[in-house]
Amino acid sequence: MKITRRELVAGIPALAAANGLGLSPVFAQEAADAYPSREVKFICAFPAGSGADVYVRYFAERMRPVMKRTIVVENRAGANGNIATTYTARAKPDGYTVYVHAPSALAANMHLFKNPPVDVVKELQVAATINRQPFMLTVHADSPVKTINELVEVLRKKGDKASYGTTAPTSKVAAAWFNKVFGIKPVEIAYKTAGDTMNDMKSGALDYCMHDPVHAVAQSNNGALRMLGVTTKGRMKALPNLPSLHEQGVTDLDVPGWWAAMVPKDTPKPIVDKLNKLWREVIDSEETRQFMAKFGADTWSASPEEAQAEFAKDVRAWGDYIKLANIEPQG
Amino acid sequence: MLRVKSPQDLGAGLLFIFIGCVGLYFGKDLTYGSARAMGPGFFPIWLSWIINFMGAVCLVRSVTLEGDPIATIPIRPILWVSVGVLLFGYLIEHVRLELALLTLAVVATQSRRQTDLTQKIVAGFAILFGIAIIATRVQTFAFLKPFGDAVFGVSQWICLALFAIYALLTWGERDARQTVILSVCMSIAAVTIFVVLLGQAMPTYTADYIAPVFSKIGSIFSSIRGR
Amino acid sequence: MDFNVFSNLMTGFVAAGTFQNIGFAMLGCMVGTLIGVLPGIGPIPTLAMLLPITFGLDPLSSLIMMAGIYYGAQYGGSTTSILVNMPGESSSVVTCIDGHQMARRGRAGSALAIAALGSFFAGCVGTIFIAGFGPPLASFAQKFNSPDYFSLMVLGLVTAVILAQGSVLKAVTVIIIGLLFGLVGTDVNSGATRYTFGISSLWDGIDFLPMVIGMFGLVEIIRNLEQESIERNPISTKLRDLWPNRQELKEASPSVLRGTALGSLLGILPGGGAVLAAFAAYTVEKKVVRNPSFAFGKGAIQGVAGPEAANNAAAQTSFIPLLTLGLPSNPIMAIMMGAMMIQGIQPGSAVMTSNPDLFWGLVASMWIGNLMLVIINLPLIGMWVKLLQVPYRLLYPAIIMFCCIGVYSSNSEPSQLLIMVFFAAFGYILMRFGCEPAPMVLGFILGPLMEENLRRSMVLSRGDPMIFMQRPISATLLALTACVVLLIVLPSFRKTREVAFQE
Repeated sequence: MKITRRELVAGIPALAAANGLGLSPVFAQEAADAYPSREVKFICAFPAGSGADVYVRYFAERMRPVMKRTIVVENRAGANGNIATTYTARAKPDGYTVYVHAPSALAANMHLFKNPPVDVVKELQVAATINRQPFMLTVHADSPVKTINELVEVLRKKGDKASYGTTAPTSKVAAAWFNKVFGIKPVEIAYKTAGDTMNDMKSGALDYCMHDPVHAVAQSNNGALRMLGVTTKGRMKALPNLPSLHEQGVTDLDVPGWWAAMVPKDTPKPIVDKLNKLWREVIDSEETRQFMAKFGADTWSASPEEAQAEFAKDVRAWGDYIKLANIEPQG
Repeated sequence: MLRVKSPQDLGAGLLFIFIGCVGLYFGKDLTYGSARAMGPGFFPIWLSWIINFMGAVCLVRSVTLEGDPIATIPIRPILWVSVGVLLFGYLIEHVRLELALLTLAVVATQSRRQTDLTQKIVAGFAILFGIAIIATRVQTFAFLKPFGDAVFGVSQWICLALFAIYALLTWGERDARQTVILSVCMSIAAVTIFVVLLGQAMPTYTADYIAPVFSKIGSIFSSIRGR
Repeated sequence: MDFNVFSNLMTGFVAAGTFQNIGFAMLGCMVGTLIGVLPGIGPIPTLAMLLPITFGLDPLSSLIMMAGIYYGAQYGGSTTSILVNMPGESSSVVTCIDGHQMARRGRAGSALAIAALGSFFAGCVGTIFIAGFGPPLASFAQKFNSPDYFSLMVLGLVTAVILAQGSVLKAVTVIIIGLLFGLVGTDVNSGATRYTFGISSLWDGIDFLPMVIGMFGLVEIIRNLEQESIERNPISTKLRDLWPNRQELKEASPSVLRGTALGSLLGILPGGGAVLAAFAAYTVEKKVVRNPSFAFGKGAIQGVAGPEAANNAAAQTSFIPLLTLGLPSNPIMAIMMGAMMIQGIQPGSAVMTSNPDLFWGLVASMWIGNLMLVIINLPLIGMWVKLLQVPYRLLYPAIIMFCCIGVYSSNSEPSQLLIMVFFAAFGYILMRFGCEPAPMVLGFILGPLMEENLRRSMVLSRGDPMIFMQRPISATLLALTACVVLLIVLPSFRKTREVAFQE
């Protein structure tokens, strides 16, 4: 990697600041111009090698030429993301610790736990948004069910003999909403990963599943699953032919997952804006759009303010979701 | 009269019952559920009861069947290996990988017979850090926190001093000298393999101080050549 | 078998046999061996870290390299199990039992060579399995539903009892304790946290690596240190003594065959398949071999050959669900899947038709990779055995150092070291009370899977336990379990009676 002399000189105040002298407002702008002047750390809340880790590493690789710095992915897995969240919130607010995770999941954590370790909206700042990825309602490809109406009819007929599979809080919530709208009471069966549901779907033990987009898109391309709808209000750009559940009568169901790059709250505004600009270069590229489409997600770029507002809205909404899906907060 | 014929069975039985009781006690708040919808407590509580039952059978066996005695448990290796590993864990965040490794080597080698003096010095060092860890982690001892922070603040110098003292004191013995040399080599090798080759994210002096110097020298060279 | 298999394999060898791809296979195997030999670092973090490198490569090369790392790590893991009693991953736990005893007897070279050759043979067979029977095997795996999995776990746990040398009672209890340890963490169904004692790093359960390194590696070190002078049988590094002699080869060959068959079948099952394979192979050996030259647990070569072959065969066939169904059967396969998707390839049945070069190239590369491992590792045996000649007082600080870095680096989490020390102490106490740790590991791995499938089956059947008898696969497995229980109980009954009579 080549470092020009100009960059080197410009980097000195940033280095000094980062080394603990603190950022005075005068230097903040200069520091932002020079940012990033050294190695950047991406925090991943999942263990190395998990699906989400692949995601984070992909972005680390794509951000490297844009940031022109080494990017190290640090896995701080555990406690449903709480460990990584706490770690980021307590990191030095200099923009060199970037938490790449789903704010929607962090919003859910605020209600899934009796005593969440950090108030995420107050202690984290969204620097850049990455994507929106709804969950999908799926049935097995061999099943005769082709539409939501047909599915509801089958579920009504089976009554409490019907079963459905869920894999994550978001999937629980979307399914609970769906059942409530149609007034049906199938039995929930929880799975650890979407892959585990496949054999039980094939044997007909499960009538439907709420799957994450990566699995749903992959297995429907593979001819094993049929997707009946997405859990966002509007359709996705990546899958324009797949209707949303909202348009098929599951009124107002809108639980998108979304990913973002977050930094500690006290990070100076100029650095947040610089990060936002750098991320947009990657997010708005055609290559990223295609990559996301393969995983059943739409790219999404927004300003830090918009994103932070969305974050706060999600935290409020999850309070109701948890009650709806009848999930007991844990401590 | 009851006579313990098999001490190993007695120990195992007591250990099993202890684990079973811990399982029951900490599992008591978990929802048991029903056969149709098992709660999170169903499986653990059953397992705990089975362990308790097995433990009881072991106890009965210990007074009915002849068995092996329990060999003595040597304290020294267990103590020093554990202390070394735990110190490594707490120190790596404060003094980086290289020094934490050297400290680990010094402490872990105490598990073999050493001179009295080094043993006392290392024990003092371990106690100092033990207090510092407790002071910074445990709420009850919060009044000691300034002391703990102070210890961790200069921890790199303490570790360096410990290693230097250890090296000086033991330099005369061939075995200990080899250990000192080896631990230095090992920590260089560890940094090379884990940080440089495998790209692990770990706090190291190499990455923080030495690599930037190299890259600065490199960039100065390239800028001179560019001109 | 499809008649086109051989022409397809030829396509594969052409695709995989390019200079570049062989180079990547070589590189992968070398990196894999290195990380396998370093205690405390597994293939999963390494693959995750190398993933970005593969973005720039063509899909086949990147998959070949990753597969190479996977086998290399498997093999390297066995090396540390044999040399220092430190299993790198779940499937090499079994290799420790007899492999390390062989090393203490001065036959480390022979154990390593048998492990390498057995693995190579199993790898070849596994490759043929994938090429010839991939799709039918996958559809067999698809027939396994929750009740069947539960019964399989029960069978696996019951066979684990045979692993232990001492009392059956203690072995059973230790397995159940393993099950209980496996349940620590967040419950899938309810989200409730169990036995976490308020420690947040326990919320995702106890990590496997710190647990086995504590229970096997550190305990072994402590055990060696408690003797004032560590005596070992003199180790000869003469070439003739490094190789297994004719007697050993003759004893190991049938074990390799049995292990391969078991491993190939169990490897296709997602979840505990590969682990079960190694444990089951050991059990089979212990029951089938009548008069081993050395007793099991005292360095029987069959106890190395069978599990090693099973373990490698399972490593090969675990590719089947990914390649034919697009479903990863273990975390390593999940990374491979991620790599394929980033390259724009949809894993699944379509790969075989849409990218035949890739599919058959990967299959061929498995064989090439296995061959390469033998080529890399056989000459290394001499070096490993020489390593054992390093005085133990120098060796053990080095081992502890690498363990600590590995365990710490997996999650940058000091509390993992705490867990390691806890299990070292626990393992040591267990040993002193005459219990063996190996069965506990199987319980630990299968515990959560077993509970999950039990609960799921009961919900599916709405609380009717007969579901386990009504399904043919499950009923067969339970019947087998009953046979194994008889096998265990009868001899131990007899023994107890003898003891009672003597009194």
